[in-house]
Amino acid sequence: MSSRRVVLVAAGGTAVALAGLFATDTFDDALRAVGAKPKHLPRPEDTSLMKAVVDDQQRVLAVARGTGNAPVVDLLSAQLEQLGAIPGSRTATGDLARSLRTAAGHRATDARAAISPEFAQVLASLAAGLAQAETLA
Amino acid sequence: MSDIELRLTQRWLALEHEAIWVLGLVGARFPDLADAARKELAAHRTTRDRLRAVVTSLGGRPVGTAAAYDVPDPRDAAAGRVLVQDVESRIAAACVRLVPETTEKARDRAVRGLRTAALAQVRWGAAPEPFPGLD
Repeated sequence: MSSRRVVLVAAGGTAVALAGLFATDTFDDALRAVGAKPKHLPRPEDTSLMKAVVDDQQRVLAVARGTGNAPVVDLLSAQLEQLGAIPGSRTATGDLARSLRTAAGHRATDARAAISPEFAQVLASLAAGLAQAETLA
Repeated sequence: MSDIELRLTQRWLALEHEAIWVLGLVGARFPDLADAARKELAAHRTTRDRLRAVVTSLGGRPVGTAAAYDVPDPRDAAAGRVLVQDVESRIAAACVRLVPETTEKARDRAVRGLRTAALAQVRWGAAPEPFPGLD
């Protein structure tokens, strides 16, 4: 298997914190200009996508908390933590199974659109994990 | 298309062969699991045939079925379920590996294959996990 830790870090587990700090291509060009080898950083498209993914994940987590589904809360929280985010504590009403199904579909679509190979892997796996979570709802 | 894409698709195809073999074993050995195994077999055969076509289109020669696979002998239905979970888990991992290496069409195939394998893991009794296919 691919190492989750390696893939998540490479995909930008820190992407949320880095949001807006780097225009990667420009930064890479600057590094090359001074003879340094660029270090992998999240691309801007992926950084904004990561923020959207985390926001959506927090929204589904709020619905899970609102329905009192502890196994799904635990799973969604673990996903957020491994994405480098802190799970939120708010609650919301809603149809949990539908929320999970919709989120899984969106993450699969995101995986197809991701620029970074590692980020695409993470999103595809996240989509599959959300599909599994729906079986608990 | 690339050599890596071909190699990873062959890996996935080999695992589909193994899943078909394992499901045949489990379905034959444990009557309680026969119906579930039969349904899953049909899906895996369809995927196997599609992957064979993909490998051929990539210029490769599709890997064939092994005479037998090195898996533990399942003593009861619970052990049979674990065998299926294991091969589905390895299919999920193979699909994750394929996601970044491929063209748009093949990436879509890998994303769908990952979801299918992840759901099969749960149907056969595995607990949901945050990131299926990544260890």
